[in-house]
Amino acid sequence: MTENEMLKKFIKDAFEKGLIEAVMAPSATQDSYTYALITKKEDVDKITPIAPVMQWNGADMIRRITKLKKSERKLLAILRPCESRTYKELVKFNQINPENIIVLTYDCPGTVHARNYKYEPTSSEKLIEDMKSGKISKKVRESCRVCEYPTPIKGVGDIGLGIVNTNEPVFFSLSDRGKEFLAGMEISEGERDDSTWVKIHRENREKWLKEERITGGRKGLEEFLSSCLNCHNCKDMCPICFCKECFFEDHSVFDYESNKFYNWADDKDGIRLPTDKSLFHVGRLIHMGTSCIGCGLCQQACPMDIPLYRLFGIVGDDLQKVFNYKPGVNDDIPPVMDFREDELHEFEGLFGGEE
Amino acid sequence: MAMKRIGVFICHCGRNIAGTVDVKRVAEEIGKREDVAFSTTYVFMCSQPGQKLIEDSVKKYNLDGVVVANCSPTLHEKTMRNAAARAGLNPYRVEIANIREWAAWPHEDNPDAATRKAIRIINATIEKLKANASLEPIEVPVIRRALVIGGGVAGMQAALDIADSGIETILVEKEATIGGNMFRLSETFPTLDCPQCILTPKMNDVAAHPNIKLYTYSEVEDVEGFMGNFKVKIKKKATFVDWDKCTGCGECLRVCPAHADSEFDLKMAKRTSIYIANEQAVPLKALIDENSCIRLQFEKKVKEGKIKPKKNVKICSKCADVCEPNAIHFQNNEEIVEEEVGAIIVATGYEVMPAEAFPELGGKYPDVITSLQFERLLAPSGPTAGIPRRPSDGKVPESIAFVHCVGSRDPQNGVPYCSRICCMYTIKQAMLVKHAMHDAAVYDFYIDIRSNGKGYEEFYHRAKEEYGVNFIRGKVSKVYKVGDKYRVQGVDTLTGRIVEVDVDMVVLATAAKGSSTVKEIAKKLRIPYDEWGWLKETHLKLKPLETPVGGVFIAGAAQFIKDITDSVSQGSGAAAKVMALLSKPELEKEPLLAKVDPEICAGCGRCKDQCAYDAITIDPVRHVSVVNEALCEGCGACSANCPTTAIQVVNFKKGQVVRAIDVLAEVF
Repeated sequence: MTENEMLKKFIKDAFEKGLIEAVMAPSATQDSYTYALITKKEDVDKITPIAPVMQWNGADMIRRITKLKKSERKLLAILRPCESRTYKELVKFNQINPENIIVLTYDCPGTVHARNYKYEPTSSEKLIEDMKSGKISKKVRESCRVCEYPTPIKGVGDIGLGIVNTNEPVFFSLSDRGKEFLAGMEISEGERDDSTWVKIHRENREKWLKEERITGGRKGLEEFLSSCLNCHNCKDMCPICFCKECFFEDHSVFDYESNKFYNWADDKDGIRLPTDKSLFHVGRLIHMGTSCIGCGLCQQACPMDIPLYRLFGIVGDDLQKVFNYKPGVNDDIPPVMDFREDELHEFEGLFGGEE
Repeated sequence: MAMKRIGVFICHCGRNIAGTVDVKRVAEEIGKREDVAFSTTYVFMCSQPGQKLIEDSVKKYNLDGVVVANCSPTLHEKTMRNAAARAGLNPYRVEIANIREWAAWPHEDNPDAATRKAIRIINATIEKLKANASLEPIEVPVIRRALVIGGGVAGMQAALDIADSGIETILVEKEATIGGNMFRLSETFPTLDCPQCILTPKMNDVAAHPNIKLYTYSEVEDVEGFMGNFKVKIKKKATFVDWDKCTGCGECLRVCPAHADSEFDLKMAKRTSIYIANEQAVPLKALIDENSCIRLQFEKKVKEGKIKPKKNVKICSKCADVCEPNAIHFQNNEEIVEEEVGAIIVATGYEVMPAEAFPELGGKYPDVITSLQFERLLAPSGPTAGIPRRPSDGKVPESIAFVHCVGSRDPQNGVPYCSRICCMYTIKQAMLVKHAMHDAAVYDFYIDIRSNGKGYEEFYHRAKEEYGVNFIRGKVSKVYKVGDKYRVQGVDTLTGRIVEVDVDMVVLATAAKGSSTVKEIAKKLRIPYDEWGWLKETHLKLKPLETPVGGVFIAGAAQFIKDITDSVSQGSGAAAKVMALLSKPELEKEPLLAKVDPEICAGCGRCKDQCAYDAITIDPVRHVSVVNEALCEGCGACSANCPTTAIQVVNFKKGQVVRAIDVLAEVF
């Protein structure tokens, strides 16, 4: 039995036992995978719990469901580890009401870039096979290859499914609610060692953090972003960018009188149009950097194939280190919401300010 | 709708502005703008004719907005707004362009640049002003009661003054008696009054005043609410004695077998475990110190299961046995009471750094003590009845060295500032020692003598000339023990010689700091403090009693170390502020507050977590931020942290601010 079949059986059993009234999981479409919300046991076969593509961030979907009101039905959400971290981060930002929701996550083989999948489909089973043999498939996205947490973490989500380093996949609980749920399912909790799978990702990540950093200061950044279309797709796909109206799309700020354009052009010996392109990315970075959980959807969303995760992921990682904060892995308060009396002393006086 | 008929008034400020900025040229340049209907200059806009000019021009040119280009808005924004309002213009359509501090003063050497910068500043201000909304002040109801935190001389004075005006006042003191540090002193400089004599009338007035509700041995636990409407939780700490019954007879003290260091005598004496703070305490009530009482310690250990009581064992109850009114019940009577008040004065006073903090100056030796401790040894009511004795062996010292500036003016080992009162009290102590023991050798090591008060310099000369105190100008580098004596190693900078004297006692004038409990209180009140524990005033010169939180005032040494005269003056000053505030049935509040656009707000709570005033909540149904206007101070921290600026301060909207910055940032 494949992992997907096993999970579908798990979901059907859960429906039968009355432990859930709905499930949210990926489902195949003509050229890709989307998320499906299923409320009947007979529809469970329509889903593919572990999909080879992540077109959206599942936590973002749950945000849409529970934004205005808590989930009125008992919902099981099948989320990848990065999505479950997003889920936790969005709970902190008041964007998801976790009541009545059980999150199941699993040892993740990574996902293929949605566009690549469209022209060269593959299956989750192939990716899982690679994972079981200890290899990260060459087909998976850059952000998946350098994922810091490719497996379930205690306290993030409720139920984990262990796939690596075990003959038969094992379920285990990540929270008290998960423990209760598994007991209700009459499933005994198992164990597996995921350290090797985590380690190869972390090694990749360390290398990546060093080698792929955008250098060359402002000029380097402008070169990196030179093909940007200003479509703001990266922002639309980013689960942390949950604002209803993006500041950078506010006409009260970003509409200028003609003289302003001319003055800029005078000052800078000519300007590129449209303006505020780099400003958008830098501004977005300030807004979401400390909470970037590394799903890499910004990069997948870029129609010009700018490897945006190298910007948001690496600078985000820097920022998170400054504030000693890891988004979505524990209950720490995000630095933008926290008042700390003692912080950032190492930066004092850096810009010529007084001691 | 954007304004089209703006009037611009450029102030000469005598020569302050016009001496550098070409005000005529500024008025001409600004006058060219399409949206400016009238621009002119005047020698003093803040003068009566200057204000009249605004009033007349608003009417004559039918102005819909006014920019006054003068000094900082903290000085005359209100003056100009009122002037415009008298002519019928909404006062929030008046903005100040600060061309004095921003253009004239910093660029005295470059009048042309200063003039162009002034034009730039006014243009930016006009851009901001154009989108200003007309606003009306917000009215907030007021509770006509006041709270004073701290029962020292400043707090008592404040409480008495407010109570005398007919306003009910609650006074909270953390120690078992009111009186504060002043009550510990031997005599006061420069008049040599006995504090026990001059302060007891005030203490008794406080206790007997029909409008004062006194909570001693109590602490402020929690503060909620806002100017005019505070809800305060006060913790009455456990005394284990029923104060309604206790007569303060002191019989219990005579039989108590357990002892601990006396808080009032600052470890210079012991007290019994059941104690009365001092003989003149107000209120004169006994309380039990849980940590040293044999019975309470025993009961605690039994409760924790550390010991098992034997049957029929008689546990100490000597105090209760002799207590005629049966006031001693040994029950933990800690209690939280709630009070509602409209204004709060914080008068939490000061502490001095302990001698132990200065081991190089002998702080580790028992006979090297702080000046405040020495006050107790000099006090006629103190443990040595006014003749100082060495804490180590009780010997009357034949020689004493006083050291000034211990930790003060010394950022490495203490604090950077001058502790202000040490020179004078050290001179006084030296004088009192000489008075009590004519033959004692007294050495006074100082850096400078700072005696800037009424009668202070004369007092210093008396000490030198009449009493023969040896003043040595120079720092002490080391104090160490030699036999029975302490060797003080210093330098005399007037003669350039190293000085070494052997003395029986050393008194260190250690640096003053804010009360150790003040940070907790400040956090509860959301008022700022500095790293030394001094509360921060709104403006050092012009608003020394105010804090950024409306309705919360500060008085006495809580703001910065000061002498009795200044503390009493500030107590009365803060009381006047409170009386003015509580004299109105409703308070008017500036409407420049944060406002949420619920269409854009995503309800993430980033603003809520930034709000220092707890003014923001998230509406659970609409899932958006909501601002409590009565609490909001309009600081804008919320707006700065909102990724989408769904929350903004009225008349400081992003478009306005960005357009103003655009103008300021143009190529110069």
